[in-house]
Amino acid sequence: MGADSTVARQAKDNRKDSIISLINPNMTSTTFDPVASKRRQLAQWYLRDKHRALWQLPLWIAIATGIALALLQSRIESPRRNLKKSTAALLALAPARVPDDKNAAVHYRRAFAGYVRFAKGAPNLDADLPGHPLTPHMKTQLQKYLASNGKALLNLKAGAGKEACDWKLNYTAGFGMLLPHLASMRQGARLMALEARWLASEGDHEEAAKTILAMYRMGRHLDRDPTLISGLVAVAIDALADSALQDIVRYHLPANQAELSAYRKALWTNRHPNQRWAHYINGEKTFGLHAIDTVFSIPGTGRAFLGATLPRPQGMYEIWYGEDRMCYETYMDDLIARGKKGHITETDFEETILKHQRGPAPLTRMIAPVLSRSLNNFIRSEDQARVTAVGMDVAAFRMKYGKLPTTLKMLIPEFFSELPKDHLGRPLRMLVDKNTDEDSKKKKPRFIRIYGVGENGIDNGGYNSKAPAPHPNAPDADDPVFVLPLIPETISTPGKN
Amino acid sequence: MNSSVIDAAVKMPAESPASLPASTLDLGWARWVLSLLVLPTLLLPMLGSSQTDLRVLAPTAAFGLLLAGYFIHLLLRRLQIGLLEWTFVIVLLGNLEGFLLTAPGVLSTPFFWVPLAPLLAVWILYASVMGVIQAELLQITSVPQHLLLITLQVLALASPSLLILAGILEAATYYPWIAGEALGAWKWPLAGAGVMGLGLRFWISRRTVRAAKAALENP
Repeated sequence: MGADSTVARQAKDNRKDSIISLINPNMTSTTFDPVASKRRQLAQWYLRDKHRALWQLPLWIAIATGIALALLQSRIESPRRNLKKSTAALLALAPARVPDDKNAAVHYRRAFAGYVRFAKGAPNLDADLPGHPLTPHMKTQLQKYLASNGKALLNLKAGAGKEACDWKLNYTAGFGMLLPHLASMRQGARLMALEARWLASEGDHEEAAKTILAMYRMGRHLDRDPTLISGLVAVAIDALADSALQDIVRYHLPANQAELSAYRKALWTNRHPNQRWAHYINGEKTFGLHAIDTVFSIPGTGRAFLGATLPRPQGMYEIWYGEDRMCYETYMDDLIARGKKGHITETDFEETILKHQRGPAPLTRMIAPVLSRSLNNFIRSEDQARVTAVGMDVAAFRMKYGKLPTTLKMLIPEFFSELPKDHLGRPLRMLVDKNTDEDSKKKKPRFIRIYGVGENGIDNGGYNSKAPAPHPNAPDADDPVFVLPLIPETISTPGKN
Repeated sequence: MNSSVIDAAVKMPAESPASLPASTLDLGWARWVLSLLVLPTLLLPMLGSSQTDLRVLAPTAAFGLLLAGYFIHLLLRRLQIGLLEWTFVIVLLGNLEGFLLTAPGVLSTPFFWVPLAPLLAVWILYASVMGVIQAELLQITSVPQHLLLITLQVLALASPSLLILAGILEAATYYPWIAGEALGAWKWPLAGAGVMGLGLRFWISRRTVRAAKAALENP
């Protein structure tokens, strides 16, 4: 058997050799090796690699991008896990509940329901009266307006008389939380300002001072909720009260020290702008983190939250979520720390965000810019309180001594222990206004201005572009100012007006 | 000699009479078409990640898909790799593509997934082809060593990218808006892996070139 198979194999090889020799006389089956042939083929392919070197260039970029995405993904945080934490933090912000019998909000809501708007064709006293004298026609309109809003005024004062105010806001809604009471509170403050003006014009300064005090208390009731908009509306209400005080001293000066002193006591000083601002910004930080986590926990809400036209594709926000969230958190902490100590400028904001920014940080750059400028509102409010206080002290000095002080130093130590300064430590000034006033074309001194240099740090002579009568040559003037007539325009005494 | 032998001879595979040129493994003229597609691919990063027009992204995707198809053809038809090696390639490919496509935001940003998905597949397939061919040329027959060569080629191909990325993260220390400290800490591991990959690339390449030249000189 074995010999037969060897013979058969040999015969097969001989036949192969004969066939192969027909094709290529130089070759036989013993010279052909398929493995070696394949190896040669592969060797030629391997050595011919110039074009493959070109193909590798885009591969390198793609591989680098892929690895970068993998590294980013390793840093990615879970929006859902963060959402639980941020929701808990948000609910912790909500102020303690207040029982209805002690809750000022109950009275305020009754007042809101009872507001009566200006009749059609009647002057808009909210806009026309502040900063202007009360003409007989306006007085008639004012009387009618206040009579129709009598119930609302009573409820507003009742609310202001309570210690605590709980609006029972829905904190679980996060950024979607509604604050419908803010506009109504501001309207209520305008109503109260008109009433204070009316009472002062009638000689009832004690009641007018109580009304001013109630306005400041309304502002404090808004301070409980740590949202920046609540804080800004509180600042606006304080400004309405300051303006009402200014108008009373200018147009309806009390005849005696006791009444003037009542207004001085009603004025809210030491407004702690930095601390209050930090309280609101901390609230905003919590709301902001909750909003970022909510947006990325629920697929598709990014577009709804950020708008139909995104500055970048939504995917970019999702990729950078973790870094953006961390940037927002650390930026807000840094901003709060800086704001607690002093003033924040536009440059500070830019420097601070670059310090914390990692990657594009699109959400942080969208939310953050507005917040840094808000501190100025609180500082302006504090400066206005200071100039109003000094202005009223100057009025009290004149009432006591029958003459105006030539410098503020004359009020030391009876009215203050040292020369008054604004919130940033710059001295307040006093100036007899030699410019043309808004009521007379003659260059005759009519007013004395007690003022600070304002946010821009420039002494604009006590003019403010937002005041009813801005200086024509200083459109950017922003001095906080209290205007006192050199000769009292009206001194209201009981029964005489 | 009977006719059945001649019939059998006619049916013998074409490679048997003589060695065939490498152009049967290469694409011939088509490789230059592929090379032309490299240019729009290189220009793509300049357009920015906001680019969503698929017509702009199409040349890059086409480049990746054609190359991937070519390498799959080489692996399965021409090199005829074993089942274990093919499984290994699939596992690598599947993990990489899955990692890419499940990264948050990638699927909603066409700029990332349209070009990247095919190109990252090309990376794994090209490394596999190179690994298998090197194993053949170096006469390595053990399957685990084949798998090791494929893995080393994956690293070797990625080494320039690792070094580029390490450089960018180093730049982040001067320009913090590029990346934070946590990401920046990766620069040293990436640089180390890149240097190692480059070293391996040159070492294996030298040995393989020598083996290839020897195979051509000694038929």
